Amino acid sequence: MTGRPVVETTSGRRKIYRKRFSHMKLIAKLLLMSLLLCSMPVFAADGDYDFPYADPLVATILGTPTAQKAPMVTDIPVKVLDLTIFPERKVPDLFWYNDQLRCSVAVQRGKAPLIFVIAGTGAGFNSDKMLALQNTFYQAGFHVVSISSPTHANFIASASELGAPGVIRDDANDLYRVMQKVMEQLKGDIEVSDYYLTGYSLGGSQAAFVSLLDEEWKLFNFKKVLMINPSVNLYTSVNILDLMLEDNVPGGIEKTEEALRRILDKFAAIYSSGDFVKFDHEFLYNIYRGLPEPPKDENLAMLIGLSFRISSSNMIFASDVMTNAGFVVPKGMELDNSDSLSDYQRTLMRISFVKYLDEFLLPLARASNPQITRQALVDGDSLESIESYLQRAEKIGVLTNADDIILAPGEVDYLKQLFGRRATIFPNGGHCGNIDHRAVAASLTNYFARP
Amino acid sequence: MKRMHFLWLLAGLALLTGCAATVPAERAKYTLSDFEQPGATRPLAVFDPFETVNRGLYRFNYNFDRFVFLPIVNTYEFILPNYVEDRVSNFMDNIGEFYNFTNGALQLKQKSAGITLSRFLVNSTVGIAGLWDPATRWGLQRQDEDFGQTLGHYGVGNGPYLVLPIFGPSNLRDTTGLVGDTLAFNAVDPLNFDHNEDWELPYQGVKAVDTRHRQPFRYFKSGSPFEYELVRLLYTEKRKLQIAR
Repeated sequence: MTGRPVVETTSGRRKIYRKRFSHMKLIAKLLLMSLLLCSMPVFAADGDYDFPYADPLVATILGTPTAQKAPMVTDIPVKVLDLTIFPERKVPDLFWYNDQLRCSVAVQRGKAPLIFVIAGTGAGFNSDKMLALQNTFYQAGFHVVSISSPTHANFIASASELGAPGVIRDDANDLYRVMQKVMEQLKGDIEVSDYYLTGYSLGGSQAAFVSLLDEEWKLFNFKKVLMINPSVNLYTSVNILDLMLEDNVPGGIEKTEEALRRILDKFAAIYSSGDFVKFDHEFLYNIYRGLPEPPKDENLAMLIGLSFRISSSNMIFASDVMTNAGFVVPKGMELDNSDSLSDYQRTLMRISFVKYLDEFLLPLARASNPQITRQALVDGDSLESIESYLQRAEKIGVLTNADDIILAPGEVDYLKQLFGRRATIFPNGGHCGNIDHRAVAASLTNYFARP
Repeated sequence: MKRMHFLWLLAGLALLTGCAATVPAERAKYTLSDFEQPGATRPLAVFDPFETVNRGLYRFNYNFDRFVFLPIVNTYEFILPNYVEDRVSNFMDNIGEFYNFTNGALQLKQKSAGITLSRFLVNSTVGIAGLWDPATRWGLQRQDEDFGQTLGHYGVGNGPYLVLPIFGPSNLRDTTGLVGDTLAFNAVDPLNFDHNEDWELPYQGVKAVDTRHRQPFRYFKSGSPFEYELVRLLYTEKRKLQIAR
């Protein structure tokens, strides 16, 4: 195995790290203690929760304003691990940079609990939301292992047994294998007291299936598991996101590029007329605040749908190359580093996630199990399919928002009913828009701190 | 002589990367022609006639980064305290005001050129030879300008997209701009290298390391199969924004 851990820090501020960090730890501990003193209501809407956006689409896009974010520790000692999951696997030349699975671990000094965090659809181990969760859990005293989503191209190429994600039970198997490899790699380097598990979005749903798997294999015996903004039914959620793009592009889906061009030009006009210094997060807030009228919901929905489509394009392309399925890349075609991929990308912008599930994944799943039906695949990719486990497993909880856009009507109530006291529902925040809000961060910390 | 080396490098890379993919056995289930007429408008397309060479250079840059550039940058970051690194960055930025000023002036942006001049004066004196940047705290924001932007300001188009060795994403206009800025700097010679030849090489070295030190981008870090396309689009849009200001 070539994956020698590389010590990195999240920024270069090594020298001032220790002092500031000890303050942070103290504050985190005080916060933890004060939270332990008050019991947590199922509805987390108390005075501390001041997430500003009532529109779930705005919340999903803009996220938490800087002033309301949980404080960030600037210098978490992070080891990046490069893992060889299948030593026999020969990754196609095109993916020469994806032959190993890249993940990270933030290490505490001395013995500490360890939490695995699974990223959401299309996201890497070091995406913004993953860094926010790493920040929260590190401050709460955990070793934090961050794992890319099984839908991320790097995971598909290096760690997916089938070479195509979407059957959550299979994805859970892949994740479980990765978690074992991580622990093998870290053996002797860190001391772990107990194991915990979480994930957001699709990663949240996958966490529940990984937990179920662990009941059988008992390698980790997770003390607690939390699903953050999970989908209840994968098909329902991806269909909502597919339609956000397809239903909202003016003139139809074939005009997506024109629509994006207009948005970029509008940005450019605002940017060049205003007194903006940098093109960054603050810039987006300033634009939003300065708009003469609130942005139209169909435009916001289109942006979310577009971002999702870009993620799913990456996923489908990687799966197609890995399985040689002939979906958009002709069967037997061996692409290499010098080949233009633009046409594949453009083609994939027209292909929905649901189409992938029906026309790519289902035939692939049938190859190994001819009896499997579409309905069985749809049903299997839902929390309903493991609801008896979720109902009785006291260690599993859910944290989501009443206005999460990936949930269909009734699904929030379903989660409340299924989890009862183990459900934390914030009144607004959209899909993961509030994941780094200080009240949510405190709630996450509190959930895992409770016995 | 230097330029000759560069051309040989390009030619070599083109040869190395020029092998085509194997011929497909059958048609894919979905192809672009299922969704698009040939010749359909592509408002986000970037003109990239040298894509094969560019992709080769993109990979070359990854390797150069990994085996040469980043190890040097990491050593630099390991040895120097962050405080000193920041002073170096400020110093380089202050000298870089040369480009901001000349190009602000060439674009007849009086306010921008005025701010740049004030920044230079303040930072060179109060900021002690540019090691500190009090000007920004006083509300004089840095005005990033370069000759590529000047050309764009006067209507010169992008030209073909280029991935330059070591420098990374560019296009014909911005590469011309880079050359123009360098020639102007050498002609004016604000640091008087003509009489301090021994200092030129260390200066260029530190400048390169400082630039990479401040650039968080890492090749292939996104893991996306379409990273090349994404970087190409983002670079082009970013330059468009800068020029429009």
